[in-house]
Amino acid sequence: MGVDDQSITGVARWVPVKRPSLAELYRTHSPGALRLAYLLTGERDLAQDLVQDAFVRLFGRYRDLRDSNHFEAYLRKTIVNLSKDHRRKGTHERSYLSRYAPPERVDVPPTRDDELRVALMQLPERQRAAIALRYLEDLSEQQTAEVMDTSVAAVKSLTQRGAAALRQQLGGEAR
Amino acid sequence: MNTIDDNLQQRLKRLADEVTPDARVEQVVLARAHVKRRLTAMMSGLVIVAMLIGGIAGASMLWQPKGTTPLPPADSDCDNPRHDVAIYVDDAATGAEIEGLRAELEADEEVEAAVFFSKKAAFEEFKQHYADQPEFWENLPEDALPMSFRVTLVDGANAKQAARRFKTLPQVEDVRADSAMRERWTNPGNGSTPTTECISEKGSQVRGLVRSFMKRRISGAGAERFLDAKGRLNFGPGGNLAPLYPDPPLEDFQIVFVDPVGEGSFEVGVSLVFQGGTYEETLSVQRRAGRMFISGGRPGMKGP
Repeated sequence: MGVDDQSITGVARWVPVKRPSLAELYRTHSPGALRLAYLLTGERDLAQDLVQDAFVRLFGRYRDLRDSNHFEAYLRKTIVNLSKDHRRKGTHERSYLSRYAPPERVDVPPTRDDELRVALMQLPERQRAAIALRYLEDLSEQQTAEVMDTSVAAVKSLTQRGAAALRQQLGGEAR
Repeated sequence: MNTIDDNLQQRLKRLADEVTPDARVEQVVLARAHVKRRLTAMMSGLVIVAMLIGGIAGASMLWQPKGTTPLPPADSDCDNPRHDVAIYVDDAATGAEIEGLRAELEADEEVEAAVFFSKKAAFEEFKQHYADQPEFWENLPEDALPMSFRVTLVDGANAKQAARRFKTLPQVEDVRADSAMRERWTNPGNGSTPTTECISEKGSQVRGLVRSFMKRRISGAGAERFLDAKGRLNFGPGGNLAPLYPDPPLEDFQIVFVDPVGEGSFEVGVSLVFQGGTYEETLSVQRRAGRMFISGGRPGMKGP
């Protein structure tokens, strides 16, 4: 394959682009990811599974991400989609933790606000996702719409209806 | 945040705070990611192996130390078989379901051909591709790789859109468009000539050209030190380019994207991955009067 000497305009400069390691990404983003997954699923073990799967999925294509600086946004969207897939299929893989690091199990304290957790789980999936993204993640309506692949108007509606249903379920305590 | 109920928000945040990451999970995630990246790379390799082999062989044969060499006729290998999309089939799919999927694919107006690869065929192909790296497959069970359909799209079809469509079909586990490059190549924009399109379909040619360029770039530093027994430059992990970059050690060299920017002009993103950092650059490639010209581009990476 020929390369014309005159066409080589000079040795290019290499510009360092520091990318965090996968371990750093995990430590930085896993707590927030787990909180979101917990509100979406209402189950600790399932939330752990979803977060694991989300990281594995994203790490597998980390170098292909269009903008690795937006890892958190990719992660958030992946978790929402995995939660949706889980609910749609009605099945999920059991925790890899129990497979790789058996039999030690940590006793999980009961949920302090089980009433809210139950009420949240009774919401339709999309309302719950809108509530979690707006209330927990503090996303704007526009950002929430992007994560959910829907319109801003739909996000407004889902959030309002979800919040109203929660208030009703909680008997006004949340107000 | 006028639509947010503050009390409800505080309760939701407190509820979410009840769950905390298990430190042991980190190693599990990293191990799984490592395995997945290996498998993904392997599967991608299966799809693009013909392009890569063609590119490397082409660069090795055609590169000359001085002067210029015209490209071979543009249509010399335009008829090579290619696969634009790989559709991975659920392990649990029955024979009838696979046939149903095949029928659906063949009925798709953008599908030119759909070839089924069984688990065994995928494994054999994988072994062949990594014949010189048996550690990749020696300990793998023969059914480790998923069944798939390798789909060739009609000219002009958008591989990403097609992939999204295929993903909704029953029994489809995952879909990969061929490195998203093909669709950009086949949509070079207005004014492209058939010749340009034909060349632009040859990602392997440009890859070979870039490798040739990189080879020339280091020629002053004693390029022969970095050539393998066949005179080829090995950019891979642990490859013989590594001595040029001892500190920090070079881990990988990748061609990240190839974008047509006009008739006969392309931009090629290359990436050198070191421990702890990545150096990236965009090169410019132009085809003029039957020859390819490549220049050290501007620093920084232009995303696809």
